[in-house]
Amino acid sequence: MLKDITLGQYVPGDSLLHRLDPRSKILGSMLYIVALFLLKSGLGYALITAFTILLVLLSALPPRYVLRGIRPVIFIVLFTVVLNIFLTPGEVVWRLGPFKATDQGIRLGVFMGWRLLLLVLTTSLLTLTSSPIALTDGIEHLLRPFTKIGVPAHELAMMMTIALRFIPTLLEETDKIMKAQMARGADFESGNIIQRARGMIPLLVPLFVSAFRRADELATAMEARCYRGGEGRTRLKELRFMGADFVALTISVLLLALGVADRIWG
Amino acid sequence: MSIEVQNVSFTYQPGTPFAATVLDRISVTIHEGEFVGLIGHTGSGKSTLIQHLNGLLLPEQGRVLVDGTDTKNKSARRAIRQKVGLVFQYPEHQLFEETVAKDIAFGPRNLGLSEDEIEERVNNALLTVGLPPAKYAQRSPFDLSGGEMRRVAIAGVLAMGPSYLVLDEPTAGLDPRGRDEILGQIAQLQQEQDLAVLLVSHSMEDVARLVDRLLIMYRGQIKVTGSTREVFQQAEQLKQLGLGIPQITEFMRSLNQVAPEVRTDILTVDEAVPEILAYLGGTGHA
Repeated sequence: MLKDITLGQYVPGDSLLHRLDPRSKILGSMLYIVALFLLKSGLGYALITAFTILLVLLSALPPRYVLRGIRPVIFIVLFTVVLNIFLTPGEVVWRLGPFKATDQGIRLGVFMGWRLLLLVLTTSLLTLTSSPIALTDGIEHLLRPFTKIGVPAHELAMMMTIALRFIPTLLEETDKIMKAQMARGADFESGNIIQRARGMIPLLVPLFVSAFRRADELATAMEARCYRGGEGRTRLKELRFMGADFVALTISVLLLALGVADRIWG
Repeated sequence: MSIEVQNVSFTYQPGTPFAATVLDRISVTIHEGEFVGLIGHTGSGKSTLIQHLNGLLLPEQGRVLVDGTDTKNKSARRAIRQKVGLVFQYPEHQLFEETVAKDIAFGPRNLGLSEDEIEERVNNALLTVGLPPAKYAQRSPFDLSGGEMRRVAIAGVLAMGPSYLVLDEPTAGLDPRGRDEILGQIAQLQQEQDLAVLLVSHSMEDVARLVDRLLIMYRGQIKVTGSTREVFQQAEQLKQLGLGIPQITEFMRSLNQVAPEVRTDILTVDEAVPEILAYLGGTGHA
């Protein structure tokens, strides 16, 4: 149930993708996304699909597990495809009552859906191969130039780290409290919407109580270790670009060039 | 009447890189009215096993029968959860109502009992855990001390009127006095109300003092089982599984090395005293 969410779950490993610097993975994903939205020819899509498959293989994760990350967005993808098919003006090829499927619509719908799937797949690959700490470290580094204009890079990164850190803890806690109340005959699965909302009280009250308790304990623990923001902080693991990172960034830039070229001439 | 676990296997998150077999073909029976201890390391599958007993988890293979009813039977689920009361670790984390009485009433209310019956059960449950209803019923559970909160949470399960009570480390994080009080109340309850109790514990001393029968779990299997005395006689095997025996049993075993006439199947200090005195008297040291 709650445990089926692959998006945002890190799987430790030692593949090429795991070892890349988080900064190059984040920048690479951004370039990939831009390229993905620039592409318009079938050939362009074929190339980027092949590239994505290569990425999945490079991650050395079981492909079926990576694909599970798509499950939560299947509905949105189908919705987009259907809307595009029926609402794009153009040559009508098929009718269903007042709805008209057009030639251009089918093309656009399929491309759009495919685009979304690749998007989710690649971004979930990013979180699957980078630990949350590495990710926020990378984000903090990338945001650092913006501290000059008042972006609190360190604070943002710390907030993200803490939030990510507590997702599994809270999921586990939720699971535990749900089970404890179910052991007392609570029913979270049946009844109308009002009954169900009322039924959530025995779950939500303890969950909030424990979230506040944890926040309090964490604040105390951080203060006890003299935490006072990012200034002057040093790191145990400094991020450092390796050869593979330059290769990855070069490939990403090439991907972007491919996207631009495809948009102009494709 | 009994809970029968027949050849049960269970895997967490099957089909993912995190897949882990936690139960490996487990078979065990818990009879009416008996006091059973369950011991094993963290991660040995104890918590997973006890969640199978009231159908919170369903076995991947094998089956669990509660008084003859399969836990997979959806329509019997509520009846099974009433019969098998499950107290999780740190049960005070599940308290949510404004008053102690309302929180304990949550279970009986889910069973659809009448208001009179609910009130009676709430009062009885509070008395059983040693909290006088007049003093505690109308207080907020969040104002109580840790030990009191724990007892309110246990009362919440007792109010369901279970015939089997499963407790997952009910004394974790309590001071010695709170621990003795809770264990004493559980032992009393088990004898007076003819309740079957399954006690999950890390403390060899506690189980040695209380339970009739022991189950030792190791990596998803039940490795050793038997009466408490029998199990603690197999000290070597327990050590191989990374577990110990009660300190006093260990002491008597050492004493036995120099004085072979001393019994080694001693479980409590109270049992050890006459044995040691007899030995000292016998050799003329006393």
